Parts: sequence; C-alpha cells; structure tokens
Amino acid sequence: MIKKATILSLFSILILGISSFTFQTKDGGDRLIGVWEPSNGRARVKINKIGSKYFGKIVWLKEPKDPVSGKPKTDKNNPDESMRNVPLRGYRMLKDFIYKGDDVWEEGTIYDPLNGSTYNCTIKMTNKNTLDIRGYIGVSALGRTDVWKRLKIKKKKGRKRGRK
Amino acid sequence: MRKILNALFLVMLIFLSGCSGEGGEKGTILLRNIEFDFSGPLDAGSNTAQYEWSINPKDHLRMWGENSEIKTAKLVSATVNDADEYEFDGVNSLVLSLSSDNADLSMAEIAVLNPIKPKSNKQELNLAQEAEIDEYFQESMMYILLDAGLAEAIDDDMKLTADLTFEVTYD
Repeated sequence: MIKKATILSLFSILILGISSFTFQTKDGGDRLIGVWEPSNGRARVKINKIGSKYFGKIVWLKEPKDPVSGKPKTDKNNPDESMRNVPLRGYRMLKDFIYKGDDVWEEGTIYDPLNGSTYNCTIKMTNKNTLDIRGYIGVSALGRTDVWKRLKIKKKKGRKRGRK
Repeated sequence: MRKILNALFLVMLIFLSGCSGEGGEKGTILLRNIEFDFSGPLDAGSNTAQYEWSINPKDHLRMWGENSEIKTAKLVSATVNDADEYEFDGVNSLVLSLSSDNADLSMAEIAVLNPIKPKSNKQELNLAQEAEIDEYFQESMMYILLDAGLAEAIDDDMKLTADLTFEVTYD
C-alpha cells in the first residue's frame, strides 16, 4: 500500500513538473519562431530570436528577380542610399519585437520594401498557425491588419563548401 | 584550456586615445578577428551568425579617463575574412548589423557588400552612411550580426571573421 502511495505521489510530482515546464515554455514567446506567409503570398518570412527580441527576415520571394535588370531584387527604396543594394531576400522586415504575454508581441516595426517605409507594428497570435500583423503610424487604431499563416518548410540537401 | 586562450587572443580590443577637438576627445576602437560561426546545414538565402560584444565599452574608457563616456560612434571600416580560406565559396552577399536587448534601440544595418568580390578570402564592406549607432555605445552589451547570403544550400559549417574600426568621441 505504501509503495503504491509513493509511486502515485512521485507520478503527481512528475506531472506537475512537466505541466509547469510546458507553461513556462509556452509563455516565453518563442512559439512565434517559424516561417510565415503574408496574405498576398508574395513572400515568406522567417521569425527568429536575437537576444530577447524577435526579428523576421524574408526567406522567399514569389518574384525574386528585378524585372528590369534580371538580377536578384535589392532594397532599392531604402531611405539610406548607401544601403540600397542589400538583398531583399534576407532582409529583416520585422524588427525588435518584445513578447508582452497573452500571445502579443509589441514595440517592433514592419518595413514595406515596396515604398521604403517603416511602420510601428504589433503581432497577435490568434491560434498557433495564424498571426494578425498590425502596421500603423502613431496610434494602433489607425492601421491595417494582415493575416499571416505558418508554413512548414522542408530543408533542401546542400553541397559541401569548396567542392563545386 | 588552449581553446579558451586562443579565443582570448583572437578577440583583441585596442583602444587608442586620439586628439581632442570640438565635441570632445576623439578615439578609435579596433575590434579584431571577431568570429562568426555559421552552423550547418545552411539554407540557400540569408544565414545569420552573431557575436556578442559583452565587453562594456565604459570599462575600457578608464584608459582614457575614469569618468569618460562615449558620445558619438561611427563605423569607419569593416572587413570580413573567410577563416576556412574557401574564397567565400557559395557566398553572394554580406550584411553587418547591430542589435541590443534594449527596447528603445532599433536594429541598425551598418555595412553591406553585394555582390562580393570573387576569388578572395577578404572582403571590404561598404558602410551605411546614415546608420545611427551612438546609443549602442551606452549599452553594456550589443550583438554584432553577420548575414551571409548563399546561392544554394550548403551541408557544412562556415567560419567567417571580421575586423571592425569605430571612431568615437568621448567626454
């Protein structure tokens, strides 16, 4: 009988430990990490964490090449002329997001490469595979929300360096 | 132990005090041979490696004066080297940025090279003319990020190093 009780209490401790760990992990904001696609389907954005903030960079473009030059697109609308040849594929269009709890990330910005403008932005995760991305100037009420979907990307096999 | 000693020698920070002028004293911060380890497999497109500069610039300012404080900072040169000596095989572009845990500081892109110079183990990056990085030097730690754009996926690790020179003014 004592043995049974001991096993039961050990089991309860284990379950409590696991659920507390799960809660901590879920509340850390890292579930934002992954590859996401905006509603227009023209790009894919990979969100990662650097230090304590979250950033999203463009990893895929539907039209990767500039129709005029035929070369890979660059950030040609960057307000800083000296940075206009930064490749658009790889550009961090989401910057400096901080997790605030309750599935909300704030204090970040979103960059629109089509016009070179940067907007304040908040991210709300409505379910584990959907984000509401709200860009705005000044107050959040005066903005626009886009819905992004999570994607699962398979890694492609590569070659070794220096052995072309 | 040898690895730790090597790492200590690899990252050399030299602070040279310069002349005084309008807006305070001028100095140079040389950050040499900082390592960026890209852990493979690497995706086609942009891959990021980061270097945590946790050395407090304020501590080093003691060489210039106990109460000195950096007022302005500007990147004046940025060179990236292929430590594996593969002449940047597979790499198309390089972008250097700064980031910090401070919520009030936005990430700043500070240098770029696109495309890179072929058949060379050393690349001199073009500097951002409008990057504002003064406030990064008020921090106790910053992240230096190197994005390497790859033409195709690579099933390998990659090690790049960088030499950075900052000009600063301080009081």
